[in-house]
Amino acid sequence: MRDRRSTADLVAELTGGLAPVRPLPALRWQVVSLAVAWCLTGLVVAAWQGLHPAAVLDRGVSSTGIAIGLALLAGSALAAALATRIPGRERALLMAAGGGVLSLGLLLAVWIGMIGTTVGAIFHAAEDLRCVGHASLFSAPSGLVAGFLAARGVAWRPVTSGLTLALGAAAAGALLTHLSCQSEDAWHWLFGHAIGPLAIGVLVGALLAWWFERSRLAASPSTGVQENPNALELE
Amino acid sequence: MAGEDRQRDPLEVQRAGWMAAAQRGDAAAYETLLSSLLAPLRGFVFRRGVDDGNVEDVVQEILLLLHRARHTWRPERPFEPWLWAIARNATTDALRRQARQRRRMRDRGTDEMDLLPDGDLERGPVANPEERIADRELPAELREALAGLPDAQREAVLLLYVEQLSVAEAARRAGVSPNALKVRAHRGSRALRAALISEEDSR
Repeated sequence: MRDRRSTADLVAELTGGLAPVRPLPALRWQVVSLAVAWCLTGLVVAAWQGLHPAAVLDRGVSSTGIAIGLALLAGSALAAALATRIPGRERALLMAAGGGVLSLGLLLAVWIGMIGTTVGAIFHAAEDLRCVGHASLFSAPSGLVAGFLAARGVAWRPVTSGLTLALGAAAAGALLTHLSCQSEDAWHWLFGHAIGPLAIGVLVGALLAWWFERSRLAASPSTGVQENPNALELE
Repeated sequence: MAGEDRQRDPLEVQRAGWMAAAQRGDAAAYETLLSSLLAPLRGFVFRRGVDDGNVEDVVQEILLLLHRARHTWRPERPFEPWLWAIARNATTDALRRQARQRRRMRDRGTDEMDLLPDGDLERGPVANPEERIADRELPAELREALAGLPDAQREAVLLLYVEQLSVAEAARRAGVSPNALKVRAHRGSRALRAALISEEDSR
C-alpha cells in the first residue's frame, strides 16, 4: 500500500522538476499514419502478388460484402484502439465501436447468405491456411504502427485496446489478402480471408490485452510518482 | 452547442492555458492548475460513491494519472472532458477496489471492521456518500427516493438540482453530452416524483 502523504506534498512533488512533454499527435493524424502504413503494405503486396480490386467486385455480393466488411472493421477497430488510449475521446470511441458492430454484422450477413446458397462447397485447408498466413503477415505493419501509437497513450482499458488493435490490424491484413487472392471459391474467402485471420486477431488481441494490463499495473498510481515516459530531455 | 459552451467558459480557457504551459515545462502554471483542481476533484470522487476516508487517496491517484497522461491532451482540444475522463477512470477503479474490500469483509464477518477508513467507522460500511450529501441537505423522503434511483440518474439530479451546476458543467463532470444529461435528469426527477407520490399514497 502507498505511504500516506498530503495532497499538497504530492502537488509539490509533481510540479518540482516538471519536464516538458510533446503532445501525442491528433487522433486524425494517428489514423492517417495507419492508413499510410496500410497503403505502403498494399504497394508491397501489389508488387508481390498483385491487387485485383475490380475482380473482387465482379465476383459478386459475397466477395464485395467481405471486402466492405473487412475495410469497415479495419478502420473502425483501429480507430477505436487509438481513441480508447486518449482520455476524453469516448465519443470517437463509440462511433468507431458502432462501425465495428456494423462491419461484423455485414460479415455475418455474408456468411448467413452463403449458407443458403452454397451447398457442398469443398474445404481447401491448405489454400485457406496459406491465405490466413498472408493475412497475418500483411497485418503486421498496421499492427506495429497502431501498437506504437497505442503504447504512447494512457496505459488503461487493456482489454478494449488490445482486442480492437489486433482485430483491426487483422482485418487490414485480411483485406489485402482478399484483394490479392484470385480464388473463385466463396467459402475460401470466408474462411481464409475473414474468419481465420479474425480468429487469429482475437487470439493476438487476448495476448496484447494481457501485455497492456501488465503495463497498466506497472504504471499504476499505487507505484508512486514516475516521470511521464514521453517527457522530453531537458537541454 | 457544447463546443460553444466550452469556448465561452472562462474557467475551461484558464485551465487549458495552464495545462498548455505545463506541457512546455512551466511548473508554476502546473501547480496553479493542480491546486485549482483539488476541490472539484474531491467533490467528484465523493459524489461518485468513494468512502470519505478514501477520497483523498483517489484524488491523489487522479493527480498521478493526470501527470503521467499529460502528453495525451492536445491544446486545441477542450481540457475538461480530458480531465473528467481521467477522474472517472481512476474513480471507477477505486470503486471496484472498495466493492471488493466490502465483499471480502462481508464474507469474513465483522472482525475486520478495524480496517475500514474512519469515515466508514462513523457511518457504517454501507453508507453511500451521495446519500450522505442528501443526509445533510435534503428531507428524509427525498433522500430515500434518491437512493432508489439508478446511479446515472441520481448523479444527474444531484449535479443539476443539488449542486446547481449549469447543464454544460454538469455534463462535463458526468462525461456525457448535455442532452444525455438532461434526459437523465428528467428521467430521474420523474422517477423521484413518482416515488414521492407513491410514498404519500401509502401513508
